[in-house]
Parts: sequence; structure tokens; C-alpha cells
Amino acid sequence: MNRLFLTVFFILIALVVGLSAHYIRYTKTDAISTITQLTYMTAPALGVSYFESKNIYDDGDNIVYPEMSKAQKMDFIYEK
Amino acid sequence: MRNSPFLYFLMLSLFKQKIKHLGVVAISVVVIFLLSSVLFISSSMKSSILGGLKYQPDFIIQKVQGGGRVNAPLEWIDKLVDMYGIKSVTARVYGRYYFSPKHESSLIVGVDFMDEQSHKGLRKLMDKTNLKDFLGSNNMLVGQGVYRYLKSHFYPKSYSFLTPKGDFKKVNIFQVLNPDSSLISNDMIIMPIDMAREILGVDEDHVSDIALNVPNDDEWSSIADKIASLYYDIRVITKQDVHRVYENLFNYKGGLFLVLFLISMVTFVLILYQRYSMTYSTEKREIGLLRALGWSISDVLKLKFIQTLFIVIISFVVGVSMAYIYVFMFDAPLLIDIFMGSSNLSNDVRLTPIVDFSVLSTILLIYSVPFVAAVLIPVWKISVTDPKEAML
Repeated sequence: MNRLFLTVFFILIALVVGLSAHYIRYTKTDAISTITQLTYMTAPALGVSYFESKNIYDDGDNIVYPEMSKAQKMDFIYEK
Repeated sequence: MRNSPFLYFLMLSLFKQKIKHLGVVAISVVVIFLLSSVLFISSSMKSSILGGLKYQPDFIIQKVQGGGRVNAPLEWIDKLVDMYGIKSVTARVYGRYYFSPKHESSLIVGVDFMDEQSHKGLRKLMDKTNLKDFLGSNNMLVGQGVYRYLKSHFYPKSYSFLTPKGDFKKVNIFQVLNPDSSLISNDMIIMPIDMAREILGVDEDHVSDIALNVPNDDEWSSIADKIASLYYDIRVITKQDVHRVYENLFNYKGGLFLVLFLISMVTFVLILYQRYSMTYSTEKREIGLLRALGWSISDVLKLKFIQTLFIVIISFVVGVSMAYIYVFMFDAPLLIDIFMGSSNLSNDVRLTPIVDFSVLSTILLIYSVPFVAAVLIPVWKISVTDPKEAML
């Protein structure tokens, strides 16, 4: 029984030490900074409807119908 | 350890009810694993994006018409250059190119390679290749997602873009961008600015928007006001605005999961509380027996507290470790789609290990305090009753 607890304890310690070593030794690249430096842009390449990629600078596009302009608040008012 | 009867009894008790404890550990591990995974993804992506933000210009100037951005006239640049306190005014030409209507799209970014900062970036990106070869003919750099898309549509070496004039412009794929930058470059196509103008239909007198820097931070607000007053249809976006958008974006996703975690945690604690407070004869008899043998209330509470602590520590360490391995070694399959979405080109993001220890300690606190309370309160209630009554 004691051996079982010691085994569990050592497995946990080994897990924590192993992951800490991975975290410390991981080489972080500056690939994203290089792209920003080149393009002056940082917008993430997301593909979700609530945040169309790069639309932080441009809210005029409609993701479903790109040829059409986005419905404005006033459009619904005129509709009534 | 055998010399200490208390510890021996503690382990004996844990071992005797191992099925019950393993069940509690398993549920806790799943809850902690899910929440930690989401927070690891969120903090890693946020850190990578905000790290790249240092090269983002301080201000973006756009022309607005009908609430949307339209191309800005090039003459605005001359006016901005003349303003005191403004440095490195750069024209940006970019736009989305839809490979087929209503479907996948990529972001074409035109880069002026004669610009000092862009040139440095290009040098860094293509350290081993000859820049003359790249600039000599119609070439482009494409992100991983774009390359995968073009390759799957039988364009492994070049692509013919359809320009607004109805002509085709054939451009060679010179290099695929580093997968480590996929978070921002997955759907990106980088090409010389003149070529981008031709494909996007931006004439020589216009640009998509204008980027500029203001070296003195104290002048930011006054310069923003000055620029905004130049024209009636101008929009000024500061670096802080962009920073705030990204913060909100990732905090929103992480916060959503934190709320779900709190709901599941409260449910879990209620189940535990109910389970311990129910009149389980064996549990009650065990506590009554210990009390009859001369254990004080604090001894009984100490026993249950250390037992619970064992469970909490094991669950937390295993849950967080599994989340770390899942997110930073396997790049979080399935869960990453919650952040990246899948309505455009698929993105295989490589997540940089970023562990926010303040968030981890908050999770530990939110998890452990109600857990320990849910166990100790019913145990205390039984301990304070008469041992004879408890053993009935």
C-alpha cells in the first residue's frame, strides 16, 4: 500500500518535472513578429462568423455574400 | 511511514475506498483538464498576437464612406508627413481575394520592399534565398493554409489571379511561410505592392489605408485629434484599439469557459455535499467509531481534510498536466476550432507554451475551497453528534 502511494507520488513528481523542463527549454520563435514587421499587420487568421478575418480594419464586408454590403442598423428601421 | 499510526490509518482509509476516490478524481480531472486547456489556448494565442503587436504601427488612418472602409487617396500621405511629431508614414495595400464566390478567401497584402522595416522583415524571412530572384519576376509568399488550398486545387507552383479588369495574372509561389506564424499568416499572400494593386484593383492614386508612427507616446492623443480633424471622412485606429480588440476577443472565449467551469464546479460540489451529508451508515459508523475510540473532533476533521487534500492535489496536477500535453504537444485538436473557426481555410496553428500562473492558482482556489468545504461540513456535523447515535 505504501509502495502504491509512493509510486503515485513519484509519477506526479516526474510529470511536473518533465513538463517544467519542456516549458523552460522550449525555443520560442519570432515568426509572428517577422510577418508583422514585413506586412505591418497582426490580425489573426481566424475563420469564424463573429470575427471575419482581418475585419478589425474593415467592417464593410459580408462574410456570406461578399459582394453585398453588410446590413446596417438603419436598414431594419426602413424595412419597418 | 508505518511508525505514524495516523498516516498509516489515513492511507489505509484512502486505499479501502479507492473506487469512490478514483471516481471523484476522474470527474475532477476532466473538469480541470477542459478549463485549463481552454485557458492555455487562450493565453498562448493572446501572447503570440500581442507579442507581434510591437511591430504594428501606432496609428492606422482610413477613409470611411457609409460606415465602411474605402480606399484612401494617396495625397493624404503628403498631409500626414508634414505634421509635426509623425514618423514613418507607410501606405498599406491589402484586400481579400475570394478563390470562389462565397467560399474560401485569402488576404492579399502588398508590401513595398524598398521600405526599411519591410525590407528587414523580408531579409529575416528569406535569409538563405536570393532576394533578387524573388523580386525579379512575378512571385509571392503564401501562408500554409493558402498553399494547402492551392495544392489541393492543382496549383502547386503558381496561381492565376483574376483581376477586376477581367485579365488573369499568373504569380509563382516562391516560398511558403513558416508554420510557426500560421496564427496570422495562414490565409495570407504577400506580394510586391504594385502586383497587389493590380489584383485588388487599387489604382496608383489610392491606398487601402495609411500606417504611421508617433515616437512620443505623450503626443498620441493630441495627434489623433489633429488627424481626425483633417478630413470629415477619416477614421483613426490606434494601437491600443487593436490591442483592446484582441484582449476582448480571447478573454471572451476564455471567460465563456470559465463560466461553464463555475457551473459544472457548483454542480459537482453540490453532488459531493449531498453525497457526504446523506446518512451513509458506513461513513457515519466509521466516524462514530473513531470518536468512541478517543479521537477528538479535530482529529477526525484532520483525517478527512488530508484525505481531501490528497484528492485535490492529485486531480489538479493530473488535470493541468494532461491539458499542457494536449495543448502544447498535440496542438489541441478539436478545441482549437473553438478559437480558430473553420469557415475559411483550415489552420494548423502551433501553440507556443505560455502558462499563466495567476490563472492556474485561481483555478486551484476556485476548485479546492468548495471541494474541501463540501466534504468537511457534513463530516463535522457527524463528528459533533454523540458517537453512540452516529453508530446507530
